[in-house]
Amino acid sequence: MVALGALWLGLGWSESAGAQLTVSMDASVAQVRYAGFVTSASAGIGSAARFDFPNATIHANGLLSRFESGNLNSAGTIGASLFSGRWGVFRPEYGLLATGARQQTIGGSGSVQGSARLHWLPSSGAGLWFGGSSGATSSIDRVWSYGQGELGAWTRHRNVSFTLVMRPTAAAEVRYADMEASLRWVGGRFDAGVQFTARGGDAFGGDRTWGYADAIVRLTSRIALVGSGGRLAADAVRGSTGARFLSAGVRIATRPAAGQGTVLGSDGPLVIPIIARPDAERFEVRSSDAGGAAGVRVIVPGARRVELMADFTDWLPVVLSPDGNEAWRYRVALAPGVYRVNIRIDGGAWVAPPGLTAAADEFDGVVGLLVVREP
Amino acid sequence: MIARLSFARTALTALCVAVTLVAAPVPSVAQSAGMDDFNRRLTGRVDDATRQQVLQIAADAATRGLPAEAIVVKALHGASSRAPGAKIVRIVEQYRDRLDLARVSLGGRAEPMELVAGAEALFMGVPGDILGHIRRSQPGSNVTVALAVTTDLVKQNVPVDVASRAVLALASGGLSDAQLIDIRKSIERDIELGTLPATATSLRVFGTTDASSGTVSLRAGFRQNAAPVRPEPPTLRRP
Repeated sequence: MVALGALWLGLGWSESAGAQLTVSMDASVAQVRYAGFVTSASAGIGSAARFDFPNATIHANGLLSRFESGNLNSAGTIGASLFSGRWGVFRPEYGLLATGARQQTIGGSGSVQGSARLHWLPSSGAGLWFGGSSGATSSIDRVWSYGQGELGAWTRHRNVSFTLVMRPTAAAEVRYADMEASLRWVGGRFDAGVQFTARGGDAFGGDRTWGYADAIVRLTSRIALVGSGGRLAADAVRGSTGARFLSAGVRIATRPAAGQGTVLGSDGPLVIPIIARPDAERFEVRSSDAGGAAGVRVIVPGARRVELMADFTDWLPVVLSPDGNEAWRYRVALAPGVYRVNIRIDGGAWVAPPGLTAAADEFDGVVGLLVVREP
Repeated sequence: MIARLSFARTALTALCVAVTLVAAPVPSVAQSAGMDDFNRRLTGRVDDATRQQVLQIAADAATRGLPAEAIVVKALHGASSRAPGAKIVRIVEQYRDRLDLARVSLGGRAEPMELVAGAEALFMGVPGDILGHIRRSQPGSNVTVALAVTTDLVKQNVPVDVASRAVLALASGGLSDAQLIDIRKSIERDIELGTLPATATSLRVFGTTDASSGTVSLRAGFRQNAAPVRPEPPTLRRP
């Protein structure tokens, strides 16, 4: 996984209109104390890749850590989520996930699971979902099956999102229910998030509450500082112990670095990124005589990446640059006329920009009709 | 006198033929440079056979005085939509024909962007004769925005006859492009608020729900977009 990430970063990736690939690599140092172990410093290198399609996401990540003792730990996940078409305000999601980890002195563990969720989406700013997953876990010398239910709610206002999930879990002889609350703020150069978990039923690992915070500071469009710290819950589904950790690192990515800052890896729900992509609020054309550079500007609160494809880009996707105040800009001088334009936000579907008339095109798609008049 | 006129006509004809012959190679050189650019942009985006056919259609369009650039952009749009080569060629041929029809409707002096806007209007279902009416309503002016606004209204489900009559009335009234776009936005907002598209257009443009009156009402479409203006006193002339 790490090698694959390096290969992708090295070779680059040609943008495609249908899918969007994000690859990142982290180099980090951490202070970690796993339950039952002494505190130890580690250095790690991690990689993550994510394919975003309009109705699906495939993601994978891996982390290789070397501890003070010289022991190596490795961990990785690979998963996919597929969304079928809407049934009114409902939308089903199907998922597959596989995880694996190996600690040099202890041995390996792994899990596979299938999941299904039904989302209720009354608006683009909030939703509920319920679902469940089941699978099997193998850890050291044991194999057990598990089942997990899920009832969640999310809401997003501009660039702040809040998620609340309850997960009742039955794994081998353990029974517990986690209540997880997370708050995330996505800005132009800075992202931050906090997550708290409280557990009822069997403690499994001793503690009842956990929490951690993470942050990303983007230095350039491809390089960011990432940091995180806190406590992670012991997980009967993955067979992992709880841990305290504090980490800091550098992330290099093929596009503006996103995701969580944790270096311990996360295979949390993908529901929010894919179904709650921000909406564009405004699309405007600026002529050079209006002050500043000529071009188009899109206002999208909370977006991580905005792309545009149009008659004037030869129908190749171009990435817009952040322009402050939730605006994204593409410099181009447009002669008066009619242009066909589409935009894509955070790897979602190509859509007509807001304020432009959307029309079916000859190629079974939809385009926005942009009229540029004489200044 | 008649003989002198006949001589002048013959001389003029000869001069035209000579100019045509001398000028003919010039566009072919420019065309060749343009074709190189088109070839470069299409390479890797469509398969070789499709590229050759699109280039041929673009060259044909250029010789007819149509904007070949628009033909290539249309093919690139098809490529980004992952359309099969045969479909791209078919769509591009249809597009060239629409550009041709737009030129017939708008006249031989139409600007390339007017032709593109006209072809877009034709694709959206605006009849060719309406394009001609719009051109005649603004002789000597660029009608790109008027055509685009007509297309927009039709796409907003305004019936073609209502949309065309509205734009013709507005264009005849001497509105600027900015005013045309403002009215289009007002109509769109009314439609979003629940007004029927035809009604919204008629109310904004004619000040009545009956578009057949064909008279622009200053109380309707302009009331939110223009400040009241004191009328100029009539100029008195000496008898």
